[in-house]
Amino acid sequence: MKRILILIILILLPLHSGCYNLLEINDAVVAQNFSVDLLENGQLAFYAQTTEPIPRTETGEAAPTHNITVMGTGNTAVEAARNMFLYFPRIFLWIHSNTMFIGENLADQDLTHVTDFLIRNRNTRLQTYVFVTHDATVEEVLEVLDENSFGSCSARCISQQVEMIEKDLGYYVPIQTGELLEDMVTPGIEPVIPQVVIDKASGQEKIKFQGMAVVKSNKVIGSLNEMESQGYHYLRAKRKDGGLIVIENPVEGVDSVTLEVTSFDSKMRPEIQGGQLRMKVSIYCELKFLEEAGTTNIYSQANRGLLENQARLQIQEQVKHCIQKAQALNSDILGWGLSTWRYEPDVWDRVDPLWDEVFSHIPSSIEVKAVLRKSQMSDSAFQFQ
Amino acid sequence: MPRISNFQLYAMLFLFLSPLAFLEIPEILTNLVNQNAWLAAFLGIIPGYLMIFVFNYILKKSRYPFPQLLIEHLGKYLGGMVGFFYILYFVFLTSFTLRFFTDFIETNVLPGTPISIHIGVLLLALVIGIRSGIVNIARLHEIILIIALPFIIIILVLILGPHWNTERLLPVGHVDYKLFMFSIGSTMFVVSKLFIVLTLGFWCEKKGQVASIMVKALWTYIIIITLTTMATIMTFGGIITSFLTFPTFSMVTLVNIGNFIQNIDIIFIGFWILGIFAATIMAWFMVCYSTQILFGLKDYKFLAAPSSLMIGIISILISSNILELLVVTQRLIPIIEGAFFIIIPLIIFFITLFKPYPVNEQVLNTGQNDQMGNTA
Repeated sequence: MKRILILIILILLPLHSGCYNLLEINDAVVAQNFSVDLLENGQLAFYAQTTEPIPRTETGEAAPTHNITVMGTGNTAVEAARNMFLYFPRIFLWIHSNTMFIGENLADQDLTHVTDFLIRNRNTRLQTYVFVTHDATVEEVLEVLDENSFGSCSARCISQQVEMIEKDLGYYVPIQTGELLEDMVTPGIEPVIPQVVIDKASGQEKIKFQGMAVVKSNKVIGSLNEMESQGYHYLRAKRKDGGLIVIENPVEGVDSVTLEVTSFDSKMRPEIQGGQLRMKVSIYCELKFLEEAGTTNIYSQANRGLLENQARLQIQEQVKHCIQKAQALNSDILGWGLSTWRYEPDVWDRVDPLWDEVFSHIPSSIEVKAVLRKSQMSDSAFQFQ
Repeated sequence: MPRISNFQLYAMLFLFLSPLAFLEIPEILTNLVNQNAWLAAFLGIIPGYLMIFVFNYILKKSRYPFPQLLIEHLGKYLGGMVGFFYILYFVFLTSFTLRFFTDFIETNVLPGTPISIHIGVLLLALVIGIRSGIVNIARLHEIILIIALPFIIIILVLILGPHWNTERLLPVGHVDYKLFMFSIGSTMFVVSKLFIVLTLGFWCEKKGQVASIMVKALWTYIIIITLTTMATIMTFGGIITSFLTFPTFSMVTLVNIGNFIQNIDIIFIGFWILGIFAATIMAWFMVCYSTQILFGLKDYKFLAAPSSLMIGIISILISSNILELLVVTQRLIPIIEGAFFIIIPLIIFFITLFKPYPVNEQVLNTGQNDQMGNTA
């Protein structure tokens, strides 16, 4: 019996590599991006961007890479994705795609076309970065990316770019598919998605980040501008660092001062005052002095309080604008409802059914504390002799 | 008489409880109590201790291992009949564990491979395992635990590191208490799987330490499941966790070390298969061993091959798709396991309350050893 079993195992061993889901690498391409848009005829368009493989004999340091986009259409996202095979002979390895564009048309009408697809699909990851196209279709955005990619970078680099923007500028907070789905289904919070546009200002078409799309329920209802997005960054960013503060004319003789937010911590807590729900926003920032445009040597102990105060006021203003925009759009992108549920669950139980009417009228107080901690390689301004 | 060490018994108990629960408990509990699921998972320790007390008491008051103890306490006819139903139940449990595993693989890993291929290959490995005897099975469990437990801990650390967000666990305790009690109760069917100690406990080197081994296995299980449930909630939030069919697996797909090491889910599956092998082989061993004892056969090992056909076919017929399987998992299994692993042991516990402790346990064990001597 033992010998028979060993024989069976030996016979089965060569079959190990030939399982039913075998996929040869030569038959596949790496998907860098997948995107969904709604066409004029009401059908969904599914796009996948990949880099054209270079034959081995032609590879070399100077070999250019060529990105291509494939499109399929259908009544559902899955049908549209599979219809891509009508035009393309290779199988996409979706697991590597880390960016997703949602077309403005689709985002403005109904995001449920993609939500179910995202949560059920085993081939994609819930950590794909999501972007909404603005004043452009997905097809146009991908076309620009195909033509003007930097080296081998294409849509895949957009995710790296948005992380850099958040860290170095503090403008746009990246969102991944898992977070998008969570914010869409969790009561008391709505998602915000970075927007990309096609910038034609320099004569050459380029992809540019511009604002963040505000979602309510299942569609985009407005957007945050640069300043409001900066405020959103301080309130909702996952990473607690990054941001640039430029103070114009802080003192006479200095045109501007640039500070970097090296770390921050923000809290939004519900408070009940006189039976009314209020939100208390408190932010603590640590700053680094990056540069001054002038020769006054403003980076001194005497001016420290002044700079900190100017930075504090600027952050406070950004946060205030963000809150005002969220309340004007009546979309709880700040997660105040969720915060109330977490810290005042009994209050939330009462206001939950009325949250749509309540949210836009909730008063808030903003407290910002900014502390200037360090400079860079020099402690004094450049002096002309 | 087979001898298994304390550590082997600990490994067998832990691996019988954990592999399926590791995948299904976060989803079941978040469906009931959302962000408080981790708390319900942790409080599973209470019914766990209750079951340990019951099993340990039965062990002390019995002279023979399960299923002989059924005859000892319920009488020849009733005990034999109940024992026969236990055989059927263990057949069902083996088939269900196999099917749960294959459906998971079908849904998430190899959707094109026919289910019969998965089941056939696993059955082959399991038959070889059972034919090698309980001592080798125990050694195998030891190795699997040493490999799998550190891996689970590493996975949890890798997930909890970047996703550490305790706010997602709030508000703690703000919950419908009926649902909360129900959710704690729904973990009871998992911890009641410690039942197999009624057989294995008699073969342990130090029978007096069986209770402490059960406690260690229970605590390991509770810590792992609580941390896993916490990790899924911190990663996805309570609502998305309740949406996902296998939230633990979805969580593993997000492991990312410096954008360099990622998509390690296939490694997780490799380790998880070991756990499923361990959980399935124990249920199947119980089928074969119970059949041997109740029908007075000389050995149990030869039963593996013929019963494999029955187990394979039942695992295919158990449900027509994963929706039915989830209904079986969430509705039927708790009821059936509750009956066989909780209610019947409780009845035996109450019967043994009125019985004296065995007079000369050592002598009686030796007598029973004669029956078991040839089979290990």
